[in-house]
Amino acid sequence: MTFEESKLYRRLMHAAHAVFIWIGTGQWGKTVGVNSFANEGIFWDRDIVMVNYPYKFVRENYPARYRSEKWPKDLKDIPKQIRSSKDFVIIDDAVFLAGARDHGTRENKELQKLLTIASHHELFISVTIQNTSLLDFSVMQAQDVFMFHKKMDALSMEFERPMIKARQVVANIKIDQYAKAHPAIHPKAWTWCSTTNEMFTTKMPDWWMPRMSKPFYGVMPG
Amino acid sequence: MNDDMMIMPTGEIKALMEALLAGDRIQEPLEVIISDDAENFIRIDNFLGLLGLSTGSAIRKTVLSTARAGAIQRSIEKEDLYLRLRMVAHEEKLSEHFEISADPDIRRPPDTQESEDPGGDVALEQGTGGDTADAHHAMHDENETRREKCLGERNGG
Repeated sequence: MTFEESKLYRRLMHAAHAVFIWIGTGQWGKTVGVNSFANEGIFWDRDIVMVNYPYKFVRENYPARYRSEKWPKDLKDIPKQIRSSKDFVIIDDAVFLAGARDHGTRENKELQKLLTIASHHELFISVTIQNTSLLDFSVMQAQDVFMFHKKMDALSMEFERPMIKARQVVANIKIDQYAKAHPAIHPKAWTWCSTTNEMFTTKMPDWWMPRMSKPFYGVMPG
Repeated sequence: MNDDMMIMPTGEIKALMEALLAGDRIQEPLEVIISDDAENFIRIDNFLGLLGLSTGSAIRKTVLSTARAGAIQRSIEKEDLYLRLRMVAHEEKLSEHFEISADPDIRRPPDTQESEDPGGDVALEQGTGGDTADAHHAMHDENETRREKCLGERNGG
């Protein structure tokens, strides 16, 4: 099956906005997956904004359509840094920006506002997080949320939010099944979309390097 | 239990780990896994089989879908993960999957394929016109400089 034949594509082909939440245990391919997905042809007219990534790191390692932006101190400044209808925003390891322990902070409230008004700004926003219990629950109440699941280990599952747990259990089982049925495909490539109940693989971009999976190596985000 | 997390009882953790580690052994349809009444579902399924209704039978499908819908609903409401995980999926035929290619050119509309080079610094079309990726970087640099200057002034008095 091609991407064009998928339910996910049919949902996105005429969409100008959406929020994608990628969850799963660390080092199971969330960062690769989110970048691979952002580079899918359906988003060809968008530039990719890595929020709070080290600026030099992005400039030196990523293709030209990428740039890094710091989360603004004032939500009013967002249009100066994130362009409506033009950008695909990636918030990698969102615990640093919208962590559940930081509920009520300015950044968290403002991110929630941005996600809520993503449709007005016609933005695609991807958020990666290891476990949704680490993510402020309000993020999941944004409009047009698509849930993408990587494999989650049992211990992490223990702390997963109740409403996500059933989805993740099914995702884990499905990923096991598909990985077993297709041994030639790397197990970390599998991603379950619990919004459309579909399985897909993400191919590593040609320009991807191992260090890109650890963008905050040696630095603290923010 | 607070709003942020749910701690699972030991029995559920054991069941979860068993289920995750035992994908080969357990063979039940997906609806059974997420059912809070798996035994009843299987009982109905077997009973319909004994009546001679094939798996493709419309009556069998209708009865089972009713049982499944109710079970899933109860299961979700009760968060009964232990029962959901008592049995894991049957060796059903997997649906086709698709691949995200990460190649911006592969599905780019033909009329734009030649006009933009994804490998180079692509000129960005801005609402105000004419902005480029480099201009954005420059804007970022400028913002950074201004921010650092403000911080310096504030700290320096």
